[in-house]
Amino acid sequence: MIIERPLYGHVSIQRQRFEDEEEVWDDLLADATGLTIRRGGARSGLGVKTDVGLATFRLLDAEDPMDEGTLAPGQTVRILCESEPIFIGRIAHLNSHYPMNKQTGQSRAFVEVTVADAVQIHGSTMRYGVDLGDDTDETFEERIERLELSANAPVEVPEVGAPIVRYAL
Amino acid sequence: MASFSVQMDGVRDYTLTLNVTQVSQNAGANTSTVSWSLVAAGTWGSFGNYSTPWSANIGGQAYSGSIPSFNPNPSQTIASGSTVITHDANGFRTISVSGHWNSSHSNIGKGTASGSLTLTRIPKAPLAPGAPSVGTVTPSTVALSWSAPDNRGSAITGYTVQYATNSGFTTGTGTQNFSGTSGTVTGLNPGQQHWFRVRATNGVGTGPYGASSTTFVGLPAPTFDSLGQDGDGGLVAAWSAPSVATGLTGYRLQVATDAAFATNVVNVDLGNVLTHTVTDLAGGRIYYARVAARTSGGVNAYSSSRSHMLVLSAGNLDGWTRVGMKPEDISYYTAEGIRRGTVGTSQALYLESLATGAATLDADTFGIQRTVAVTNGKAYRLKASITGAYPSDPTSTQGKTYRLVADSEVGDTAELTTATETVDLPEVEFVASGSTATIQVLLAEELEVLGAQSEVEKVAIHSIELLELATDFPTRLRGTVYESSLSNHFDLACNSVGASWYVAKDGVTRFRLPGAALPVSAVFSDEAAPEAVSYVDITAGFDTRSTVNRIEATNYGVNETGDLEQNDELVVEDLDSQNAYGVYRSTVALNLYDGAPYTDSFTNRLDEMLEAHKEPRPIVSVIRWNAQEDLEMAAALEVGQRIMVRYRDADYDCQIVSIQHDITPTRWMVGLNLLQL
Repeated sequence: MIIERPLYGHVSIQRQRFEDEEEVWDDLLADATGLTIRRGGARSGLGVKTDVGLATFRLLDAEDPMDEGTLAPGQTVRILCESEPIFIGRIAHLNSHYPMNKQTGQSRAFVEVTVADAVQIHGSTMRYGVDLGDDTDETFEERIERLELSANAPVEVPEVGAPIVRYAL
Repeated sequence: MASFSVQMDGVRDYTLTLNVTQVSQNAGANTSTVSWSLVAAGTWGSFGNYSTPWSANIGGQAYSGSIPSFNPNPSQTIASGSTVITHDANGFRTISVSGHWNSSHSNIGKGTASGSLTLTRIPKAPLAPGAPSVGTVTPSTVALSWSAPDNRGSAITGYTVQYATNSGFTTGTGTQNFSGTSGTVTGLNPGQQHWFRVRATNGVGTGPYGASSTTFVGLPAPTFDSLGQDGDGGLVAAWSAPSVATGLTGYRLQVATDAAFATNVVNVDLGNVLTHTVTDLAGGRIYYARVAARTSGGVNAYSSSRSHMLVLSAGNLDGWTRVGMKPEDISYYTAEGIRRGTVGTSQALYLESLATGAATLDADTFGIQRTVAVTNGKAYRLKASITGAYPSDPTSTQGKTYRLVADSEVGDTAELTTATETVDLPEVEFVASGSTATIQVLLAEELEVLGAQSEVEKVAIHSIELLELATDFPTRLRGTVYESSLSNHFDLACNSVGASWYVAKDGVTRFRLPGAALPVSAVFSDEAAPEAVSYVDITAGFDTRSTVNRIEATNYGVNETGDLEQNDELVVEDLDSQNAYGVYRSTVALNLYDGAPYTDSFTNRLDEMLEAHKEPRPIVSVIRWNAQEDLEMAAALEVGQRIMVRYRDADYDCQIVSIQHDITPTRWMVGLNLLQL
């Protein structure tokens, strides 16, 4: 049996900023009304096409970009669960709209923030082929290490250990 | 005295007599002195003063004259004198003599008396005896006999035997005297060849030495008891001491590769021992050996020889064996054809063979091999070095070109150009296609041996290593001019090797092995189970989006110079699947290197894909799960993880393609899009 409890305190949305060159993370969850994260790719015939991962959340009457809001495209935002990250990216879109409540006649700001992960960065980084020089071939690990040099976001190159001697006279 | 008379031809009875007498001899001058007189005699008449001529010849010396008057009644000496006669070299001389007188009177007439006279021989030193005959030989004596020579007029009083250790009689010389025509020379120095010659002495002097004879003077040969080998490949000889060992200081063991002891001769001088092991001999050949005692004079008589086929100990070959059909006229040094050894500090396998006749060794079939355990699908690299062990630079009839072969991948050729150089064999890489692989070192070029030769192969293979390349992706990628985004390059690389990539929760881009190689991270079930969490929704069925029975593939690459795009196009399809389900086509872009040893990597990858996708299968494509069942697990879920989904008692092996979190203040639903493994 699953007992659903408020997630406040377990999940947080944080925005990165710097004060005197010190990294500071501001929590935005209190103003959030919903959060959707989608990461990974899609089956594409024989393979998988990696898509841009997106995290979308809505803020109610907070961080209105049209009313002195401090959020801005390019800012780093992360989503945490129990202090562990489940998403990190940069703000790609920042929209707000102001529906009127006909019962009260009031209008509130709904700010929709879309955060894109590094796939977007990789997708917009051009790579003009692979020149192996005098070599004819390279390992997968060597290829990723080569591509990593072009990357504008962190890439963890698969480790290649020293060759293992399986037989020696 | 000798008298020679003749009746004169006058009317009356007169005779003419030539008297010759040997009066003395001069041995030093080799001459005799003879006196002579010419006498006429008769009994009638008295004669007046007539001048009448006479002549005489004594041993070639002529005399003549005349007398003013004559009255040879009863006799008258017409002329007389003495003559010195020279004897020949042997002291002999016979002279002719004659005397003539013409009286010019009819009563007496004329006449010539003549004859010959053998003078007494003048004795000389004896001639040289002939070469002595060799009789009994002991370690220090030799019995000789010889024939008496011409004594040349004087009885032989004794003989002198001269011995020496060279035919010129200049070294190791000595003499011993004997009265007769035989004797035993004593006190000889054993262990040497000796020469002997004889000369005779008579009352006049000593003659010259005659021709020489020679014989070996020394200890008798030891008894050669046995010739064999020990476990280390040493040639072991054993013998017994000679029956006479006087003056023995040691032995000489002589080893050769022919019965005449003319080829590859090795002399080993030893102390007073009765066995010896000769080491470091090449195996695979017959050795002949014999032994002799050594004395201060040198090496004595050799024993009869023995022979042994030396087969070296191969040592621990660590599983290596010979490969290839050995021609009949090729002989290995060891029974196995290989010998364990070292090159410097490296362990080595020696390939050593010789030819007893013409033979041909085929390329790429003749060498050594071993089976090694490997892991299917892993990439390996075989390395080795080769060092020549030839006495001189190898020729065209000696093995000097070798190469590595591993799991049928053939490496390039390496060649020895000098006798003992070390060359690294070009490495060979291969992808294991089973649990074992055969690694080989093979002769790279055909070798035609024209006849018997001592070294056909004499090389050491060492520093052999089989390395498992520590990559999880054994195939290789090639260069490309593919112009696209970095993410598409990631896709290209991952699709080529079956990997996947994703941006992880912490924002770092990471790569994963093919799903089947990953551990199962979580189990989702439709029933409560202690090790599983329960999903709340599932999408399952035959999802033909994953069915592909025709693949149109492009393998991106570049031309040989690397500056122009050169892509390979290939279509693979499964007609049975198409007939059954219709055509499901898909395109795929790869970037596989298909040079050796990866020549099949492109087709293998497509076959692998086709096999995995040609049949529609019931799959689980999406599950939804309430994260509040396990928040830690929710935070731990990651793209690319392998999970197991249990649905209606069936387990579905899946990989997470994407994760969707839908979070509200009180609800957290997780949707997982899955790829069936």
